[in-house]
Amino acid sequence: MSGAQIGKVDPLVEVIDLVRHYPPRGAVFAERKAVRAVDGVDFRIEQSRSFGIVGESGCGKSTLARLVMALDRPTAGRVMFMGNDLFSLSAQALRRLRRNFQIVFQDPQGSLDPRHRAKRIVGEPLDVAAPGLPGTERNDRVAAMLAAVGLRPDDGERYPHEFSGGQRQRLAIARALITEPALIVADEPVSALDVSVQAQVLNLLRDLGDSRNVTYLLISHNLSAIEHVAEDVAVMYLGKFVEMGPAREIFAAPAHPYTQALVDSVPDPQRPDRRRHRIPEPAPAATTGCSFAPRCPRAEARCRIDAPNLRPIAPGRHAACHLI
Amino acid sequence: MPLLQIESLNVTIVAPSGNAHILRDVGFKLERGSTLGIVGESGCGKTMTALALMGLLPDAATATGRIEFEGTDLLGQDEAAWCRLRGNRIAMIFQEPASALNPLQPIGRQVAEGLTLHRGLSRLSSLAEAERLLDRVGIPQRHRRLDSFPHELSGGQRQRVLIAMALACKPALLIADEPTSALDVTVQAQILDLLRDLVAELGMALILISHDLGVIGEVCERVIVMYAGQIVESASAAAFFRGRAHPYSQALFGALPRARGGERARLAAISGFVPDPRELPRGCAFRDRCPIGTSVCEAQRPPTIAVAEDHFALCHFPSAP
Repeated sequence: MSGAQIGKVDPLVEVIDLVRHYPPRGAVFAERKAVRAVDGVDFRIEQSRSFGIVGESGCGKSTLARLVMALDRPTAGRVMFMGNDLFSLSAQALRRLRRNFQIVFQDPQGSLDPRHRAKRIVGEPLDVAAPGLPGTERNDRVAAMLAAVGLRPDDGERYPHEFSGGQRQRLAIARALITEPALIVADEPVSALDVSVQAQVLNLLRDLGDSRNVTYLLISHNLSAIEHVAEDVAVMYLGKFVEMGPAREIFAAPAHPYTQALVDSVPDPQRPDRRRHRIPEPAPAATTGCSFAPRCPRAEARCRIDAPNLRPIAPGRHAACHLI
Repeated sequence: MPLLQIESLNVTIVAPSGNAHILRDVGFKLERGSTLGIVGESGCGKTMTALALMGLLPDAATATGRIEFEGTDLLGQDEAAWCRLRGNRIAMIFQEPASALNPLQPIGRQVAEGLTLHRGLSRLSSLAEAERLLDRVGIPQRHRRLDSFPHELSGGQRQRVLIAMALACKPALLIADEPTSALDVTVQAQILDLLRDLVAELGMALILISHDLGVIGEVCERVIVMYAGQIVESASAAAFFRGRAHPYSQALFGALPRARGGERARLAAISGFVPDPRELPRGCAFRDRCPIGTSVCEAQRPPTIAVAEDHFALCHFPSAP
């Protein structure tokens, strides 16, 4: 396949049996096994249904985001974007396709070039996406984009260090949006921000999603942020999805014991007195059986022998657990 | 006599670009064995309050007022007196356990250090005590546990080690500055449980600093909200979570997204910025961001108003709780 086809294709993204293993580091640790960062993940992102992936540090969610962005190559499996297999496209075709999917990182400080003015940072993706664009039109688009994310036109003349954390994240969002992508991958976009600023950025993401027809793949450890932006959610644990379905339903009535523990662990200022269920600290996955079994309060004998597969448990909902 | 009583504490950092008023007229008291939460956005003065209590303010800072702890005014005492106090009567744990531990020293020695320093225990008996403390904070028992290095532990375990170090000398006051912000939610829940149990068991007082109202609500009996270096609201946690009197507290509350499977409302974002501590407005510091700010707020400093018994707000127009 050489050229990329773009059109109204459903689903927007299809991830098929995606695997990314990292070889063990150094010969000294030869007895160590490969790190199974992403270990057989399947999902679809439909147009206009933003998808959230929630999980704790080390579960593989950022590796998965990098694979969907084609910033890393999988050990096995495919990522289809608008009907194109990202990893069998030529480098040139992939570059042309990239204007349609963009990324926003957690730390806006580290992802914006400190020596460039805001207008150059925001306009830069156009160099690749629309190289022939006349200067005045380009300036207009940058100005319109700054306005769309709630920055002033003269903010374009400023440097990243002159902005607050929330404003820098707005710049990063403006840069991601300027090529009019269909998909934005946002990896912990609000984790570095204060609560009040988080609310601004989450509102902005939702508004832009509606007005510009952008679908998000939102990666976060923060369940509340996910629920605020995403229609569908997958809960990831040690490289695998353990539960997947509509975000509201899952957070209202989590099925998998791990999802239950996650939802239960979020402190709720409106119900401070409730006593929560606890799970033990993170443990390495067992070599056989369910990878969550070592921490699971309900694990039975068979959980330590057979690994459960993600299977339908209700219309639109999937979970990987023997006990459901 | 309360364990700790702070009266009109002002901290100013003198710089060529202008004097920054970091803490303004901060005052509160803390009884033995009680728990206090301090909440607010970055730069509001939470951590500076803690550093003032530990005698760790930056050199450029000058502090005035009173910090009375166990009957002594700490401000103005010499460094030797601070050294006898720190880690002994007042202990502190920090946000990032990885950088608060010495990476080159086994954890046993780090936990034992305070015991040899303040209690004059021998090496062996301090290590035996360290063993007991690690048990108490839930570091799993294993061969040569005392010889483990920080990098061999997970983030949650490192925070447990820091708590063990802080507890070593049975302090009367523990200050925890964002102790769980760097941790995953399931681990955070365990650390909060541990802190709550330890407070009940050891009868020490706790000041918990967090930007997360949920975390504060889990542990604390009393809540202080800080904004631009001032206490803008103070109340019992029960009263505070029933109803907020200050518009800033209300805004912080409204900005929290909630994963509860309910209707997805727009979040009540707080517009604008925290004012520059070098150029504080004449009247109320929250005026420019306040949904109900008036010309009175612009011209006059807000008074502290009691909106209910033991519930105060620094506002011209506080809501009735």
